[in-house]
Amino acid sequence: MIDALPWIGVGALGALGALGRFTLDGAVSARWPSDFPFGTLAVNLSGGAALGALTGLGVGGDALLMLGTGFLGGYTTFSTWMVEAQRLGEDGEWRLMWLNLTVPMVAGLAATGLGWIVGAGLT
Amino acid sequence: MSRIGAPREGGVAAAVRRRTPHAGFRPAAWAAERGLTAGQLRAAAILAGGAVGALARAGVAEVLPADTGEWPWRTFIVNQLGALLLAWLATELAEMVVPTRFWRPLLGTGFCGALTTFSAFQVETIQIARHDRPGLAALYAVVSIAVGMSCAVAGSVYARRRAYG
Repeated sequence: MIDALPWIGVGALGALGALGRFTLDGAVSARWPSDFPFGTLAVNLSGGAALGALTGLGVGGDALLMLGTGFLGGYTTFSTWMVEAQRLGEDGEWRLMWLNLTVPMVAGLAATGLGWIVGAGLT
Repeated sequence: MSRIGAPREGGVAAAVRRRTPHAGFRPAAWAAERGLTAGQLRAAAILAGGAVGALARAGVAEVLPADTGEWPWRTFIVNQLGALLLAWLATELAEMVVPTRFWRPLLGTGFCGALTTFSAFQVETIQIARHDRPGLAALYAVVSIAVGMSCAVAGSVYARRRAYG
């Protein structure tokens, strides 16, 4: 039988990650109102850096399942990023659409790589 | 999320008579009877959807093997399915049915948000590049975004086709 505890952790931490994403997105969007979705960007960059750090630290097994797949998987989002970009295009905001397709990817790799280096440096 | 949730401009959407979603179950009324505020109902919906979305993604990861440095199908599949589902859902909920404080947080913010992942996508891209396959890493990044955008367009178009004929 599969050990149930890590799966309970995935569900519970995934739930908290999703609520954390909603909360930070709302706070950032309220603080810096813009057509550009800075809230989702802030969530994804911070979550990418955190998973980079976990990877750099060499976290694996059930801890990675719960913290990486559960919490950070629930926290970061690909679907919202894509749909927000599609909505920008639909509204004719082509420049912002292309910015929202490129900046999160480039900045995401940078943030994740930085987290990775910091994590690897701590071990 | 505010942009996604905003009703689209234009006469067609406004002309459509909005349906009441899921007439049998009224979450807002149910919550109000139990003294829950709208914010608490929304938070509960996000928590529930987030838990199920994270478990679904972990379940897919359990079934699909992952070799570090190879194309990460486990992430690619959930991300694309989530983008397609969220685009359809956000369009339905913003334009076709009466907006509610329950279904969008439950299925959109909660389930689709937790089912899909940005952090794993980034780490995998770096891992592939570190396996001396920078070309595959670039391909994974570009194809994920291109297919993701196509899914977002397809989900939105499908919702409107169905509503407007």
